[in-house]
Amino acid sequence: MMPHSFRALSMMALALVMPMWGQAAERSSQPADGVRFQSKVALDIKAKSLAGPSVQIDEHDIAHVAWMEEDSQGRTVRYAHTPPSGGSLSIPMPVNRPDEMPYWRQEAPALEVQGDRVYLVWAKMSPQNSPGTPFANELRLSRSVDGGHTFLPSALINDDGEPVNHSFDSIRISREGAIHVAWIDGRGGQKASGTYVSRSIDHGQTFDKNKKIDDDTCVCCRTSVAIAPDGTLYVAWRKMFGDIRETVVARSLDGGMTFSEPVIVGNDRWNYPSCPHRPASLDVDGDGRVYVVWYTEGEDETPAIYVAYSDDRGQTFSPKQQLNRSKGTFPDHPQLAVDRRGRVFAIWEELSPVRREVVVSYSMDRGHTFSPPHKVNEKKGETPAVAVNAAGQFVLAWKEQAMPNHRIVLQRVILPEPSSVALMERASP
Amino acid sequence: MSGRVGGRRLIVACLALVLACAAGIAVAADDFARLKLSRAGAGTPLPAFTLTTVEGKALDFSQLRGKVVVLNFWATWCGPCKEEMPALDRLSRRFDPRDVAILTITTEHERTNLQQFMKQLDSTLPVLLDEQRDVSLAFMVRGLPTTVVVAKNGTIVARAVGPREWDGPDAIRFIERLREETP
Repeated sequence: MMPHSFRALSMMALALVMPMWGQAAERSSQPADGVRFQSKVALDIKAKSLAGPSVQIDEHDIAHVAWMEEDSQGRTVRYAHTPPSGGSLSIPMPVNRPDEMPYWRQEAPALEVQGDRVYLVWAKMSPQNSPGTPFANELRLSRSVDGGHTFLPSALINDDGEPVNHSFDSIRISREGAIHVAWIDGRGGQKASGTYVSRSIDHGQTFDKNKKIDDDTCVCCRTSVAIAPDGTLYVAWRKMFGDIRETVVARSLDGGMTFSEPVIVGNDRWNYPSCPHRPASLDVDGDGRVYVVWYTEGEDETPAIYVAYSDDRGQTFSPKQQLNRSKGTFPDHPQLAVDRRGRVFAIWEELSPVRREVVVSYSMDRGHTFSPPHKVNEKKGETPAVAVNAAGQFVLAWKEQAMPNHRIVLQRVILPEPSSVALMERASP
Repeated sequence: MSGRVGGRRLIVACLALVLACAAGIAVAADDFARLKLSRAGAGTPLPAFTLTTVEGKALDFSQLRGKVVVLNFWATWCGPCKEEMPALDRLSRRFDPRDVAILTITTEHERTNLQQFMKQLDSTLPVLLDEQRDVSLAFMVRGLPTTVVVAKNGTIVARAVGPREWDGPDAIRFIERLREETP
């Protein structure tokens, strides 16, 4: 434990770019299953606090990262990217204007890229923030149209104008360029929060009227959005059934205009009258199989990360499969990405009082079997993320404690060809 | 004769002591059941940490030895946390702070807003900032609110996940019992 006074000494404003070529990664053992973990790229940031990162990878194999940092000068949402096919990260760019004070939330900005357009969702301190409503914030979308070199003034997403918290957001862009955002807020004085969505069809300049797709949303577990090749839009979140907490998925077949009733994914029966603060994550492969990864403690109150999939557009889900295997740690913060060919990559934290590890597990057979967890971090790691592009290039990102700095680490992964099981499944009608 | 009477008195006293202990254990077990407390981590020493309050004052956990300590982990986005906070505040007002320390811990950063929130509640509970999550992880906090109760000898006694009626008779009796224990 570092004394707080010492932490205070590390409050400096300058972001330092430091490529850290991956001897460490090369030293670590590569799995014997053909999966190749490439050299790591790191960015050291001298800030008091850092939330993130979020990560995406585009069709040019450029990896994009975003995070929020706090130092003595204030808070800034920042963005950086690699050159195509890897290399060190660019000088981080501020996303919010200096007069836009971000609300400090314990989650990365939601990030999406399409061509030269970069989109970031973050929360801004509300102008209505007052002693009576100290936690009010607005959900904002910032966009860049020049590949992340500059960012335009942000647009307001939530349309309620209420001094409440709007957060736990996620973003995806459809093939046609429609931006879909999901989040949680407690507008209307509701005791229980709701899951909301909105859409922008003008590249993020304005957003449609907000839609509530469900009530009784667990207030602290981040939403996740995915879009299938056929345009079906999926949203995942954690729903409260009294004290029972279940991960659920709803789908929209009309581009986000209407949504189905939410469907329970794992039927965990987790009785938990409090806030787990752990997201679900979902993605869709090229044949429309929907994959969900989530955290639950189930009926026996054992912390676990599970994955399940659906072949009927989220109407039913396969039996859940446990991914974490470690004893003496508990898993946290699962995230998932799936490529067109059904190669699945899951990443999460394994925590104990003295350990903060980031581990990955992957499936080459469309989620039937998964590899044993493989540790990827060097120093204490947390808040991992994973992304994949249309070409099946995967990138991982997480945060490490590199005292006195915070370190964002990126690592690309090359996966072998999908298994024969996956190929046969995809070939069958 | 006097020796026999003395012996009987000793036996009666011993029986009374045994019964009192048994009663005490029963009450303790009853308290755990009524308050839905778990013994997870019971007997573990309070980890050594120094955290800073929202006002910027450092608090070394070693200073708490000899007191019953109630550590409440919470966050502003956590509805159940905010709902139970007034009860914790009322609990704190029932005890001498020299005997019982009730502290709240959050991993959040909004210092001004945290202060405003506590002021809104008219609460004087200290808010400690665990910005790097070290203390939360040391206590294996997996959800919020989580409340950890520490005995005067500096060892963890009980844990509650989820909100509790901390100013109810069961909680008050539980803390009172711990306060009366010899470290």
